[in-house]
Amino acid sequence: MLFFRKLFSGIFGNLRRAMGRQKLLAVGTTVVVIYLLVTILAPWIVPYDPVNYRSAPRLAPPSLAHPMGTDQLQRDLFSRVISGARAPIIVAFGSIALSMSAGTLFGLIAGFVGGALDRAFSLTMDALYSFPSIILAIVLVSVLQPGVDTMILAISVVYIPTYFRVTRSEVLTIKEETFIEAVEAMGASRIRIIFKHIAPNVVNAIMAVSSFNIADAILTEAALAYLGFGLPPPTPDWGFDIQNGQKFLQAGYWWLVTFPGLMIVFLSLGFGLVGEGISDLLNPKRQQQKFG
Amino acid sequence: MDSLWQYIVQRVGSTIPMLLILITVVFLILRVIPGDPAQAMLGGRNVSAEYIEQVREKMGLNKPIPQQFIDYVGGLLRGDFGTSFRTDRPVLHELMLRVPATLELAFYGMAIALLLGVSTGAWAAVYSDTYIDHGLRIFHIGAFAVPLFWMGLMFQIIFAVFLGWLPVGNRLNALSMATFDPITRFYTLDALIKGDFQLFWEALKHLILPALTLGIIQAGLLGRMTRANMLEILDKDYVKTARSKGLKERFVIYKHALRNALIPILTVFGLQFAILIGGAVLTETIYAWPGVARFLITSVNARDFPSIQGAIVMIAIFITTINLIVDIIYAQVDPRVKY
Repeated sequence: MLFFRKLFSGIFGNLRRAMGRQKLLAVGTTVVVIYLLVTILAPWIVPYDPVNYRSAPRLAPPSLAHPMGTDQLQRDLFSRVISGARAPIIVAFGSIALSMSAGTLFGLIAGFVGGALDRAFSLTMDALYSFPSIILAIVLVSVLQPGVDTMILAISVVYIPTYFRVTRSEVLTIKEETFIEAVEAMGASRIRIIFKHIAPNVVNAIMAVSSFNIADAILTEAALAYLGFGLPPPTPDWGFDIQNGQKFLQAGYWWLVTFPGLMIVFLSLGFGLVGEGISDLLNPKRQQQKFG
Repeated sequence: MDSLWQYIVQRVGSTIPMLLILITVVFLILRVIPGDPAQAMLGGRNVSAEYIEQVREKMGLNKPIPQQFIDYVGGLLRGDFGTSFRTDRPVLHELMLRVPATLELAFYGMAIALLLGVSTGAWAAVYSDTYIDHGLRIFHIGAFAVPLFWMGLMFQIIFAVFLGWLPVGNRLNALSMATFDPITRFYTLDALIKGDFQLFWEALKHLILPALTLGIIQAGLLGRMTRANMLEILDKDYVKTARSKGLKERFVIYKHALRNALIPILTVFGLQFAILIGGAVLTETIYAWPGVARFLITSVNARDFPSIQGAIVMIAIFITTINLIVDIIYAQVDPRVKY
């Protein structure tokens, strides 16, 4: 389908050309690629097994043998931190893919059809948009079984309104263009007009939003895991490891909290920079987007 | 003034469906997805089938879902938020004990966000494309790439554990907490009313870290917006006119540019407040702050469905009210808004 072809060629084609001109984009992409490589190669790079190795000294500060220290269960924190990238990355990409599909579809339909349907959709989406996203996610997670799919579902619901709003406002503009009138006059069906003629023109706007959303989804995943609504232990996960480290914080064991947190910071910063770069490229006079 | 009242009535009218939608969504999630909420609440506990049936009866879960929904909304209108499953007290009572704590924290957090965000944003714009600007922009972008809960914990390690300057959490020391007789439950305000400055300082010390944690994230967003708006306005003709009249640069920036740059920021204030309340969930957890958001988390952990529902309705009321107020103020401040 043209929509997807444009989406992919848009992402990769533009990225290659843009990196030369855009330093933010180049730095951001580099960070993201390093994380992706580390995540894929984690089983081969980690010095110790992140879950089953339990013979390190207990709660030892960073040293040459254990560069990020060890935890109370005598595990190597460095190995856990390296392996901990997997869950947030899978959840972030999964949830953004899901919310992008649903939000864009709703936005296309509501924007194109208009009338009462549009009003009902818009009101619901506005209500969800105005509500703190993390609270919505917590409520969803609380009634579902904990796991990767639950996390993806809960976080995706949070971002649907963002895609809905962006898509809908684009559709409202595109709908009035002459070329739409032309294909209408040629007798194209409404479905054909929506998916073949309008959808491909929405791609740019969606792309800019999505990398900010991935950055935000990583923070949301970490926050949910920190609050204890994430993946069941002992799966390595930064948010959960931080929650675990908090118990020893007042005794001065700073490394348990510091290192997993830094990993989150750099990853979300990486995606944030990619988003900055793409936005700067797409619309030099850009508007503020929602990040929170 | 007539048209303003019309505008207010119209805005209140459009707030109600919004609130109703949020209540419906939460109702659907909490009563419909789990299948049988009574079973979900009591599932892990060692109770008899008769007891579960009793609870079902008491909560009205044996009625058809639409009837349950009408009953729930009817209850809310009468101020009946249901009964907490955990404490057996009215949910509204539990919430009212905690609302001031959350609002006090939100107030100080927002104050820090505005102060830090607007000043750094304006500063960056005035010195655009210098090292000051680059440095401040890194702060703005960095501020929302950092997970709020992690920053809170880092502040705790540095200022409470290592330096020992500030308390680790809660609203007052254990001793003051036991002897303190609250009036409004806004502790800094209460201390001032009583004229007890030592208590005021103690309450303030407990507020600094949580409010800073909440405020910094917001400051990043506000700073970016202020900078963008300021850059645009500093280029406007009336600013050039003001300068060519020979006005002092400081006067031009504060009186002419910054004031106008702040108007668009008002429009995102409602959204900012929502993010702030979302952040409160984490801040209250880190600093053991006895507010509504922490009540929500403990209720979720205890699977206390009436309390979860009540806390969320309360938060929805906060947010729609703030949005309403912001819209009305905006209509007053910006003469271009027609009402």
